[in-house]
Amino acid sequence: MEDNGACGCGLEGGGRGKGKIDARIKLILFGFALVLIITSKGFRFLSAALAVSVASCLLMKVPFKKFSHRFPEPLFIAGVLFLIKALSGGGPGLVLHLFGLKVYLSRSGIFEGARLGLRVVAAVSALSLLTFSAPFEEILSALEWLKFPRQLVEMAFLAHRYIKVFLADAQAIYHSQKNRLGYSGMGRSLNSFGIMAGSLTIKTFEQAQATSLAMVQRGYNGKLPTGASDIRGYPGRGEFVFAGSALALMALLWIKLQ
Amino acid sequence: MSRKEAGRFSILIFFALLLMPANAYAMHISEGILPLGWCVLWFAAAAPFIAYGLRRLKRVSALDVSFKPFAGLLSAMVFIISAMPIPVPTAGTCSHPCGTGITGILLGPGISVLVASVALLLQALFLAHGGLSTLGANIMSMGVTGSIAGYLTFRISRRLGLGLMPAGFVAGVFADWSTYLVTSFELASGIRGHDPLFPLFAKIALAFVPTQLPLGILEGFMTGGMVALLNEKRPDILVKFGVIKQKEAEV
Repeated sequence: MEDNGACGCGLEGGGRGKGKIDARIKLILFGFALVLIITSKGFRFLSAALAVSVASCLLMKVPFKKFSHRFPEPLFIAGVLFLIKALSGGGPGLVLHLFGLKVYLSRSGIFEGARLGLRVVAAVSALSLLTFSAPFEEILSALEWLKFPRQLVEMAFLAHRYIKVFLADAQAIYHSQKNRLGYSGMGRSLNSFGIMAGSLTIKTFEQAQATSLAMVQRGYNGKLPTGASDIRGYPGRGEFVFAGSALALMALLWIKLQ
Repeated sequence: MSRKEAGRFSILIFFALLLMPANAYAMHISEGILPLGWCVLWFAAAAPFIAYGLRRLKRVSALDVSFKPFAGLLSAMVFIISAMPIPVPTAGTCSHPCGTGITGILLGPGISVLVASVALLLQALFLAHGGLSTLGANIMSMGVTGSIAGYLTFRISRRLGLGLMPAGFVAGVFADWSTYLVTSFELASGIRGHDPLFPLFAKIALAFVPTQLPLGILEGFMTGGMVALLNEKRPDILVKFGVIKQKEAEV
């Protein structure tokens, strides 16, 4: 496993806009934007949502490479679905000659596929805007405030805290296996990968025992402080005005750009 | 388009994917793919399983204070495992395992759903693998189906007399393949529009065969290897979670 950011990219991503707007407001705005994106029928609103999200991320000085790392997987799946839609849609269309086969591409399928692709890119951009603008802990606290199950929030807090630790462990194991030709050939690779995954499970168990012991010593009684208590009150009037205006603007754009 | 032509085009997609040089990915449904109604439906479908998992977690945590931290840390491990690129020889690409086979075996399907849900939430937020609107659908495929398939196939294989490694292998394979089949169904039902469901489901399932079929087998080896290593180095962990009995660990 190379340390190429394939796994750790974006783990430290959030927080550029922290302190300015309450994470709860950001979460509600994102949720509303996502609903509008998903229900949008045309290309114009989706293009506008994409442009606003990308511009906001660039204004927050999110490195473009980091931002673009989020798109290969969604685009891969959207690409496959585009192909399926374009190849299986009905009605008139284009004819391509490929490998001696006549391939019919349906116009309605291409349209549907392209809209789906744009919808995916717009939605992923909006999600990226949320995660780059709010620290993860604040998002989780906001989720808890919005009645997301507390136990899941606690698990997510712990998981987030230990991802980097386990990632470092996994990389150390991987590199020592690789240096001893553990990944030369299929059989050895599978064996090495199984050993690495098993070792991680053992480390997880040992780390969990050490962590819970340390937590008990500090007064842990089964409830992990998640930070939601810090945001017990409601956001200020200014933030309500901002949120209301943003929601109204998004709704207006959605209606106008259909 | 006739059925014959549709079949030919599906084969074309299959070979086009074989030729793709880029990385392939675990089948998480990305943000924005599913229509709103389907997002809500899959959240509603996943909710009872999450509620059951939460109840079970509460009960077990009351007896063992280290259990919740373990479940949380296991989520981090699933996050890392499902972000590890492993080579898929037939597709000439790398792909990512699910990791729910092992959590299903260790924790049982109820809490494994929670572990997968947290891993999926983190992946959606940090890597854009999956999404928040599609979290319900991804929990249903990877969390619920993967965990149940992994748990049940492991238990049935053990009852049939298979050893830990082969039983782990079967559990890993079925956890992965069932996840992939349910994801294909979710995708087909979400994007079909006015098209019939099952032909589209077949096309999507076929399109992902080059990566997912071998990936399932690789995940089987991974899960089997993990269980075997645990049995060799720390059998007490398997005993603690009821995977093997104390007597078996002493042999």
